[in-house]
Amino acid sequence: MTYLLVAGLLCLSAVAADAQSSASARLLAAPPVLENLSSEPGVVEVKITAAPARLSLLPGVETDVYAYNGSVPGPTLELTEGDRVIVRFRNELPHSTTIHWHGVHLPFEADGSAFHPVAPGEEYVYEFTVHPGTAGTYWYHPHPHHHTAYQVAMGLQGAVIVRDPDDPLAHLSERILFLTDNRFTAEGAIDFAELGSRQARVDAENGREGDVIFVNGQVMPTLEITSGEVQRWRVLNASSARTYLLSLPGHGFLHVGSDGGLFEHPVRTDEVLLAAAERVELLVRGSGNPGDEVTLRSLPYDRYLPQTRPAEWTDTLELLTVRNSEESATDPITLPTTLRPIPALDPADATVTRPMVLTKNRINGQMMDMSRIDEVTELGATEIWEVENLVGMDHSFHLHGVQFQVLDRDGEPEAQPIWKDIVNVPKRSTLRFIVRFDNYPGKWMYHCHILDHEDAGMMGVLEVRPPEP
Amino acid sequence: MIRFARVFLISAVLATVSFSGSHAQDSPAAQSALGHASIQIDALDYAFRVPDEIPSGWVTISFTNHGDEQHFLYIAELPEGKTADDYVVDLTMNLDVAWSAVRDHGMDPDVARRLISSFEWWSPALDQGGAGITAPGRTNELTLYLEPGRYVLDCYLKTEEGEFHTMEGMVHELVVTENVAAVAPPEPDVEVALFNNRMEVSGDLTPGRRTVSVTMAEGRGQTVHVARMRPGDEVQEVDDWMRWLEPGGLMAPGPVEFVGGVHRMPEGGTAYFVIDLEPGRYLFVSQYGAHRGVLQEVTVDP
Repeated sequence: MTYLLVAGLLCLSAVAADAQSSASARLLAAPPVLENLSSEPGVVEVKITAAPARLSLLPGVETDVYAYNGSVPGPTLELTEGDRVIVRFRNELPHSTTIHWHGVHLPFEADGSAFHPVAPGEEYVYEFTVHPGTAGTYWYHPHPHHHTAYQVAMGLQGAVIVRDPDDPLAHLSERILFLTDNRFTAEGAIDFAELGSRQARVDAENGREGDVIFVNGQVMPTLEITSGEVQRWRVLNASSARTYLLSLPGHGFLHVGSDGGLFEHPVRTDEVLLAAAERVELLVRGSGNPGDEVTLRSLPYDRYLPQTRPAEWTDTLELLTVRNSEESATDPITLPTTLRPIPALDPADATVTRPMVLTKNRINGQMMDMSRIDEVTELGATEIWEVENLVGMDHSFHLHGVQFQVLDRDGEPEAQPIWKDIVNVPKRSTLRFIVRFDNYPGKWMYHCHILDHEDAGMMGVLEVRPPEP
Repeated sequence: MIRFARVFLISAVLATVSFSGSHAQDSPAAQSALGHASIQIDALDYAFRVPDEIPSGWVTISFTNHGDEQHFLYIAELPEGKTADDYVVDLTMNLDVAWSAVRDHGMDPDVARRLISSFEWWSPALDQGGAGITAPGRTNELTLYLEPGRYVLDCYLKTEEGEFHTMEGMVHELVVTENVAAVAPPEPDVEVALFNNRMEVSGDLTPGRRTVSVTMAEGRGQTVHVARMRPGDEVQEVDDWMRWLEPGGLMAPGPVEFVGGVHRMPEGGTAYFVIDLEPGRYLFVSQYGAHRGVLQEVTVDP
């Protein structure tokens, strides 16, 4: 069975281009890729160093940042299912840090959570094997207790792409869109709110949002597409707090994947909500005449409490110009209707329904305590987690080390099982997901991925224990 | 909107109550101490778990505090076109300006009060009662009368840092439907009459479970919070703590443990709450604006 991507679907807007501005626009560049130092087949060995740097994030201005291997965003880690991965990490920052491999199914010791801080000047080796069936779009970032938001804002984040050797979409041209935002002083320094200021209060409540939006570290770059060409976009929201409601005006996307890889069935949609730390895979088809442009935008989305809702929340944000290239049109392509089978986890197998009640900076009424185990389960257990957001703003809920399937939202069943490691829980709503704790015992964090909330204590610890002998 | 303490014969069927969270669904209509269905409202640090909608007429609410701090439940009617968000932005943020001037800059409360700007839509006439201050782990069961409409629920006690619980998330919108609850007002054992500047407490103040009626006999907006007074607890300290704009006012943890009561009463209104009296000293005290000394100390003899 095939799914014909008919002409007209997902067409890019035929907006007349401003030739002059187009000519001067910067083309979207992918982040650098980490060099594989291993010559052994099936082994990926890389070196990552976190260190202060001075880079030009804004045109004509140099900014003091923290960078992985000297770039913001950091270099992309390219992996294939089955790879054995060795990351030799060195911390040259003036603070302790970690590298958390967000969404990747790996051993506790390799998770890079706050349980394994790497002191300044120290090294740590992250080792794991990429599980079959986990091809998808992930990312990495620091996770030191109380200091994640600061270190991420300083520039520490990068993409991880896990490929399937039998990827049904491998023939498509691929783009990474790594979304971040930041705030700068007039001198170009990264701007953090003064302690006790109104802005500090807003940041603590909303999570720190920036007024400059970056795609792959570039401001409003131009992505070229050929008329008729279908591109695969891997979109990562690596922002500390900002939620994007993606839209190509008057057109649409074919939504083919989420945090944990491809869907079973593609979904046509005009808008895609992308909360902090979420990822999506989208197919976009170019159409129109050479030089035509359309803007990838983020539409207004109200995730805020009334007392700290930004005045400009109703603004539409422009992220990226998509321009039809001068090349000739390509022929329509066909896509499989089933991208891959995703077996639904069975709620009947769940041994427990675990409530997670979200209030300000608390989960189940408690703030994070590194010495406390909040929840305990057994290796191999299947559980339902019921996440109830009782407050008037959205929270994004992330569980380390595993992928889960959302069952329902306010009682409405999900259309199909998809793999996720983070889910937006809208204000005053409840959702349930099902998860199985395979392979790796250890202490796994769960938390709000609005990083200021995480740092403030909106986090807990689940210990997965081996079965009793 | 206001209903008096009279027997209210209700023949309507018990309304269907839908809940926003499955925890609430676990006990959608628990049996109250008064013998009829009650509506469960939970307080946490800092949020309410509330049904999406509740029936109108006389309703019994079980207000349970699952938090670590004391909480109350203030219920106010929302005028047409106004939302709980408007309430926070127009009222609470407005009051927060004055409070922050006192807390952060040491401004005299009487001076700070002038920073509160007036706006047209809010009025104390919107007060519709609620649950008095309730200590962690306690349930305050109250019966009150609510017309169909839209209401805002609020707890404006303060954290240890002095932040209004409202600003921390304890505000919620509630729909009261046309369906009428099959609840009749209970027969009181104890009666509290509230006046603009005084309070009268009378009735059976002996140990045991007692139903207390509270009538707003004059004016509006007064509250009754019942404090269990331990040896050494000072009445003046409690009364001082009730002044929201004074330094330390309404801030956690509070000077005493509160065990029940009703919140800002509408003009001429009556509400009921249940209290388990044990031998000892109690303070019935009001928290309303700048009024001081609206209180009565009660001793329950063995």
